[in-house]
Amino acid sequence: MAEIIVVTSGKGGVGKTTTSASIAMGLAERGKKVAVVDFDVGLRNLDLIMGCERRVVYDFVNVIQGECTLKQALIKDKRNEKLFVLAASQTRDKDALTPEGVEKVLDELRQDFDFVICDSPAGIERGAHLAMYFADRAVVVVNPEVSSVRDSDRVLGIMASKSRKAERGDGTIKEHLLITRYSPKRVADGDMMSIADIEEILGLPIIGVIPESELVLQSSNAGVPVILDNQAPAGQAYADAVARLLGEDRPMRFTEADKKGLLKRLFGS
Amino acid sequence: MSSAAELRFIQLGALSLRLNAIDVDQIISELLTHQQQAPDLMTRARLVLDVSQLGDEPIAETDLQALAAALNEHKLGLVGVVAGGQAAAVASALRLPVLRSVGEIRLAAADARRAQTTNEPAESPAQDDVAAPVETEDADYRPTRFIDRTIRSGQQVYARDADLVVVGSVSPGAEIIADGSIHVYGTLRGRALAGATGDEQARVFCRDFRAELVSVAGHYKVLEALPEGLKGSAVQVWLQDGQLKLDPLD
Repeated sequence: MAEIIVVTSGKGGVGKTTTSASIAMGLAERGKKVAVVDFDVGLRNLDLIMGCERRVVYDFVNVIQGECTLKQALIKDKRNEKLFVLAASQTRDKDALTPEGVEKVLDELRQDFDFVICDSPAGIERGAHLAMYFADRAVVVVNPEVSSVRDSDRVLGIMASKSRKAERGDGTIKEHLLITRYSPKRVADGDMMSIADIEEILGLPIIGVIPESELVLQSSNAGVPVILDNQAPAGQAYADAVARLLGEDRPMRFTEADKKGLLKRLFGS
Repeated sequence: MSSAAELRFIQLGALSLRLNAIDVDQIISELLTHQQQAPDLMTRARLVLDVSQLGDEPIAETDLQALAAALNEHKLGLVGVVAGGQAAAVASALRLPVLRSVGEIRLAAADARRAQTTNEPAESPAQDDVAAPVETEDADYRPTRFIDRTIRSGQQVYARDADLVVVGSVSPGAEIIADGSIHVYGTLRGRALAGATGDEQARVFCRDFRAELVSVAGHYKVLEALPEGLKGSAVQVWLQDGQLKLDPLD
């Protein structure tokens, strides 16, 4: 039986899809069978970041409406045969997602996979609610700024009261915090919220801190999840986060501003 | 064998409207100001008219009718008249019961006890008096409401007729309301409203004060900037002579 993990945030543009792609790829790289599902119906992006946008034939909504089988709609990743993508529909709107339909698809995915990653749309409306509703765990993506922290807090509150687990009184969704676009230097300068600030307000364990990096944008544009770049700090930080999701204990990296030596300062890093 | 019905003395969440003059327009405009300041309190309000300050000058029945109609129009229903002054005449004009305030009931109870010890029959209350002489220890008891988690932005918790204890924190944008007192053992970053139905004895206590707004019985304070000396401290909020007081606990 698969574990369903929702990647959510409330606020848009904080790196949910980037995170979904990297976590899904990271879990697959560690031998897990993973399906990653794009819940952002109408604004599909996950397929772009996974680099499979030209292979989308059927999508999530087609499966829900019985226009194809789940097997037909799942796109196998070219780099990792254990990873499958279920794309969102570009042409429908979020009303096409029904609770019964989503439940049916997720139940079917549960049978065959170790992990199902649900990439939530921004906001707290239907799509976001359905993405979190059936989840066992949640990765809440937050940027080190007040509005993102506030929105994450709101989403955590909704998750605590309006998930299936909460409604059935069947435990709670296990919550993790993932900080993205973190710049230790700007924190040191006092321009950005620190890890401690965020942790204190949200009161949740942090599963990873992804440093701000231009490389993330580059790899997103190239359709390569940044976790595959094992030289880049962002890629390594995602790999650490995946390890922690699997229960490993790893020290946080890339959270301190590096003190550049004279040579580095002269010749750049 | 258990009885089919019990008589119990309860305190109801009614507000007394003490009239200093019969000027319907002014009374309504003052009430509307209160309503704006404390919408939670006033929208559920039931009013008991207190005419004890009006003296002996006969009160015109038309004025009373006009006042009752204007209050009704603003969804502020009159449910009674507080004993005192011309209460009996006003009550019969408005066809409302005369109610004794709690203080008088306590006196009545003491009288009744004294009467019993001296074996004299207690004076029976006037016919239109609703209050029964019962000791306050018998008042309805509601258990404290406990919340063991963080109350997050956008969430609202209301402890009706009870105290509220939050063992976690209250996030900015969250709202906790109690008819009694509020205790927060985590950090209070949101809004806390104690004494929501008018209990002026209610207080707010918290261990780490960073609240956006605190209120007791409708007297509120918006903390746009946290006062130095309170921020991050253990703080108590209470009402003294109609003034909201905020003080560090240690």
